[in-house]
Amino acid sequence: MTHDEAIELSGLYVLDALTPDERAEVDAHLRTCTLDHAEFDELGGVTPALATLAAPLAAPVELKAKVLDAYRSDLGAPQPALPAAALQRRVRPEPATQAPAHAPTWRMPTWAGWATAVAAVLILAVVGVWAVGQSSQADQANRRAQQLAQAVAAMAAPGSQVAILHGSGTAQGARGFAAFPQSGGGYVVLTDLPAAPSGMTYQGWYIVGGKASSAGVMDVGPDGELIGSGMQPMAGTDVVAFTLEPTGGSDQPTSTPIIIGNLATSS
Amino acid sequence: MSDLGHDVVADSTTTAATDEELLARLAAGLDEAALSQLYDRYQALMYGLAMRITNDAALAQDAVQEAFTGVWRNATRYEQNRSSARTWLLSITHHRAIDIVRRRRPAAPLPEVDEVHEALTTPDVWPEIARSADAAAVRNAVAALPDAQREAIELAYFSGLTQTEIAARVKIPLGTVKSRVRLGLTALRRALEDSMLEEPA
Repeated sequence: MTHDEAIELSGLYVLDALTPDERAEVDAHLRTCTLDHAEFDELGGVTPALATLAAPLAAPVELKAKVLDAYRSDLGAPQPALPAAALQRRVRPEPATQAPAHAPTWRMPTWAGWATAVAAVLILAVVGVWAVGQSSQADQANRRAQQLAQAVAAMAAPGSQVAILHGSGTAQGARGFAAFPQSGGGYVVLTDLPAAPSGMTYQGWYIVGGKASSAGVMDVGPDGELIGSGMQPMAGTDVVAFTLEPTGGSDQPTSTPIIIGNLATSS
Repeated sequence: MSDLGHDVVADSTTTAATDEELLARLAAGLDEAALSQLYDRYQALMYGLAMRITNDAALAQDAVQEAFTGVWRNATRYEQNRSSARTWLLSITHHRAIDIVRRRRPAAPLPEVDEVHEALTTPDVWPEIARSADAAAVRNAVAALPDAQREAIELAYFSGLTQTEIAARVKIPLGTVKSRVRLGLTALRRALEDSMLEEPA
């Protein structure tokens, strides 16, 4: 979906007049596009006023007891504060039968572009080290090449959740992606990442509704590459982010994220 | 200035917890008293909106019940600086009611049944322009819209039709549906802003 197409749908979006598929496309655009979307806020601000057009009407008295009963039984059972089922709007993979017909075209260049970029890194890494001719390094390069290939496959798999990562601040210029296939075992790949300052380490975070959960600490290779595997995002993760933390990592981020990306479902 | 929510609830004490405080209590953990108060304050607004959309008492009750489920499950996600509690509750109610009427229209693209709960999390609401716009001002502003724009907005907001369904119903191209809704909402925004300016501070 182009930016203009998304803006054209702003009014229908704020009125809830899109199908789930259409809405998901707009959501995906809003997460990934850096252009101005103020119109969504401007028009959305009108919808509360529309609700006042409906005359208030007392609900049947028995409804209150039903609501309170449901509350007790819902919260009585052990469950997370933010149930996964309630948060999957943003991350739910589309059923395979639906995805192709509505596959938004904007994704193609993005994925293809990244696959190409990553493949280039992969080839450089492998060829570069082979040229040196040291077998231990070649083994290492092979392992890394394998991981990269798996990461690309994870990114390309239908229904995978993917975040395109961009660095800022001290990590300006760093780029990469995190990919979490439905089959489990996610990857994060970053390139052009400066080494962490002495006594510090990079730590990944899954952000769910504004709250951070650690994705673990990760080391940067000598060539500024970071490859993490076996990652499992928290249910409902909106954003994948990295901060610099004291060696050993922190329970919660102690600094502003310098690498960040919104998680979206690929098709 | 009057806030419709409070007109209806007629709080008798000045020390009552604010709506936002009640939501914060829900977010903090099990607090039936907080939910009970929110229910008393908003049930009539929510049920009225749900009835307008579903036109069916049983469905409207379902919508209100599902909306409250969304409220307590997502209270931690409510952002006070983006919208009032009233707007948040009504937007969840609207979303639930729309989903319910769509599920009952066989021709409509159905949300999957297990997406019911997912759709409870609509509270990405926008900074409303008129936290205290009164119903009369809104009615005037809507009445002043060109008929075609008002029709498109009402079919979308109150009838739960999708853009494709609106185009088919009104027999206009999709692009016209999009532009009518945008123009109409833009005009409404301007009219409401003007009506706010006219009111004494």
